[in-house]
Amino acid sequence: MNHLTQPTPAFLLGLALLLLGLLPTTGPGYLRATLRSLHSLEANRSDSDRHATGYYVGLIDGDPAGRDELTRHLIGKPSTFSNFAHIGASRFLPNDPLQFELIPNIHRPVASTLFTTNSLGQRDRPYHPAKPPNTLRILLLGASIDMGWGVDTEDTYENMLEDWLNHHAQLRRLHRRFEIHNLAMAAYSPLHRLHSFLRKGPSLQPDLVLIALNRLDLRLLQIHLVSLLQQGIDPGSPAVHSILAHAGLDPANPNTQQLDKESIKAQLQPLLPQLHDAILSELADHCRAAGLPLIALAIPRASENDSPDSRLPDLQRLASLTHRLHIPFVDLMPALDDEDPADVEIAPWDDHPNTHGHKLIFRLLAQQIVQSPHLYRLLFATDPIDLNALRTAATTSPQDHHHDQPQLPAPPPR
Amino acid sequence: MFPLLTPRTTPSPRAPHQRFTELVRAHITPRSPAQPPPPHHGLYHGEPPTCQRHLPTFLVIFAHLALLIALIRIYRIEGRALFNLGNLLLIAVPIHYLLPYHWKRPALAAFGLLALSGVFGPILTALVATAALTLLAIARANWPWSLRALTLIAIASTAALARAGLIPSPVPDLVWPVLASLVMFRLIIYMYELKHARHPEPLSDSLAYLFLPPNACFLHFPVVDYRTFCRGFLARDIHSIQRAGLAMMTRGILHLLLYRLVYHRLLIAPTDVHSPATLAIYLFTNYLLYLRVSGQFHLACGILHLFGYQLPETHHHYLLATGFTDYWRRINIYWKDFMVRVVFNPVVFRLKRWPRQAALLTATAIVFLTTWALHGYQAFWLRGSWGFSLPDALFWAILGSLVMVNVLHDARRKPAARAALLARTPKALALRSLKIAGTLTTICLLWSLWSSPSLAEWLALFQRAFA
Repeated sequence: MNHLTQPTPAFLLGLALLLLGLLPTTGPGYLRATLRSLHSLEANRSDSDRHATGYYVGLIDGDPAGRDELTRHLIGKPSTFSNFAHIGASRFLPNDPLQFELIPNIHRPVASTLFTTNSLGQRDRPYHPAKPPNTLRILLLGASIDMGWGVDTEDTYENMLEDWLNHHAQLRRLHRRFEIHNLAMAAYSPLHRLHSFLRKGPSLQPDLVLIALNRLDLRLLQIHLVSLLQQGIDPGSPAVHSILAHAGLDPANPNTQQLDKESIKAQLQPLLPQLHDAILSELADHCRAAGLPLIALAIPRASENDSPDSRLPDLQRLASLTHRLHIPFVDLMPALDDEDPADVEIAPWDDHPNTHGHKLIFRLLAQQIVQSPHLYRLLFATDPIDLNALRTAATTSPQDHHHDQPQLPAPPPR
Repeated sequence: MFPLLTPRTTPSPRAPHQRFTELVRAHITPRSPAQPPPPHHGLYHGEPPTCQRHLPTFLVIFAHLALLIALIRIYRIEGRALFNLGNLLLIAVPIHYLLPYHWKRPALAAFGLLALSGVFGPILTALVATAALTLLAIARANWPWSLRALTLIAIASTAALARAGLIPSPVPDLVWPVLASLVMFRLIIYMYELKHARHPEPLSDSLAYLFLPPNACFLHFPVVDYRTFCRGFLARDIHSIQRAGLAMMTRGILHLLLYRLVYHRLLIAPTDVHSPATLAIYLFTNYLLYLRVSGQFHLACGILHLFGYQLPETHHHYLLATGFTDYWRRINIYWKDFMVRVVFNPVVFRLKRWPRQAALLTATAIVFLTTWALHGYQAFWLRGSWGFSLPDALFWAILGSLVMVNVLHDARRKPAARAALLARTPKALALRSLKIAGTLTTICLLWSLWSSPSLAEWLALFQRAFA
């Protein structure tokens, strides 16, 4: 029996794997990224491509376009966790290119958080429709991350930013308040965001517009356009209409409406970057015409799929596009780079950032504002000050602020 | 040589499915208060020697198990379901180890239900267990075998209509795949065994076979053979079986970690294939995704070993196959055994008057046709769609044809030629390497065809690579 108490090769291999598993996985570099992938439960990027799955992957992981309920259950999704589509927080808008919007005054528990909307139908704090005096009103256009899926209303990066802007203005004794109105909504494509701005923006009298961009935008746009074309709804954008018509996809044409989803998706696929460019260009034109500064934010998902290597081509495309359109581009993708995705995602089956993830996104955004004189002036209508002096002032402030302050960086070079 | 293809020169007096004997039960003596105490420590009265307990040895095994659970936790292998099962194992394995022999099999079924409840909740588990027990009761009813089989087929057909949404059903959607995972193949094997069994099957064996604990987190589960399962229970020293299981689980974890490396770091999308080099990367990494299946199967069967069930390997170095029959023997061995037992052998037996090669070819063709159909059947129950497509049909047709050619070739080859191939001479090794490379390349090509949504897209892959 003695030989049975000796360590076996399998035991030694297990120990070696344990040591490997305990190595730190955060930070940049190929080795760290490789170690992170050993811990990753996520679907990879090519999973959105049906080619890359095959019989067994489909059998184990479900539908290639997204993990199904059974798979999520095995990963650990509790039965009490709801999907956005199931909480009844949105309403359908027939024959409208906006398609759906949030219902006002919603209070729905989602796992351990509360999903709420204000009386204006925004995933945000209560606001009066009329702009208060001395207030800089900002609109945020975005999708589910920006809406704050999976976190409480107060824990979105948008509300953290609003608090910080107000706190910062108070520290600098600027007679200026800030309101950020969150027009983001889950599954909103760039075209939805354009329509949301055109529909809801003017009545809110904004002074500045933030558009959040992410790496799923092209897919969201594809889904949105497929739906519009199949229902025969005009996309409501001359540029988009023109590109689609040029490709033989006219929503008014019954032949287009009868095309199956996969055919339309295949036809749209090569046009997506061009369509995305056209939509952003149209938004920039509208903002310019209204005298509104527009700022683009690149928002990360809590996923290894948004790692620096993976995101580079998309990021370069976005930077080039915003440069061409003279839109300031704030890259917030590195906000989650130093974190294990497991620490910043709301759940293993859902890569939306959790409260900690939103905090990191907000911190990087605040840092970028402080470091960029242009952005700083747009927001505060004054030049940045010596931050060391500001830090001293902050520590002597009697006000107890409930959010962590961003690490104020060194003064920007003059 | 194709498995079980060698004709028997001296026919066995019993059919293959009847040759298994209950080795362990032969050791069990009926309990009698008058009998003297057991001769060994660590045994309850009347237990087989293979059941003998030895605490120091078990503690080492338990420490190894805890290490593997820690790995599952740290690497988040297969998500929370497996981690929950791991926690259950830390409690269930010592209890099962200490339980008297007669309680071990019912306890395994109870742990299986607990594992299901831990992953899917008590309500869903109750629904699944009720349905599975009803099916088992029908299978064991005192009716003619054909009536029982027809009843089960009728129930399965009605359930299939409900699963497909063609008839309304109050059953929650999640019940179908979980229930199917337990019964869709095991009930076929069980009925096959019942048809040929000379004695009634013990209920405890049947329950343990139905509610295997690892099935709770691996719904795509190896087709464990009933007779092999029963025969393997404490077939040798419990500690040796448990150690073999731990080695199997370690291998499974290693496969799953390698899968993640391939999946996240090496695999490229077909749309990224633009040259012969990228094509080669895609073909090979796409095939390596199968590591997920081999990893899961190793883990699942390794877990069963912890409860004293000695089972065969699920895969055997499938990347090193030297031919297509060899490949078929090495990859998903349980499936191959299932096909041989339920399809191949009965067909060959029925065609015993045919020329030998014709019988072998016909049986092989039917095996592949059945495999193709059953893969669709499996996909239907687990995912709700049959998944039949032209690439799918071509994959099985081509693989089946290649295996048939190989079968003929092997049947004609003389034993001396076979021995020459296995020799360790440079020439034999070079030839073997070439065969491995050829088989692997062909399988990678076929696998990419199987993974493709259409033949046109598969061909476009090569056009892009060589344009």
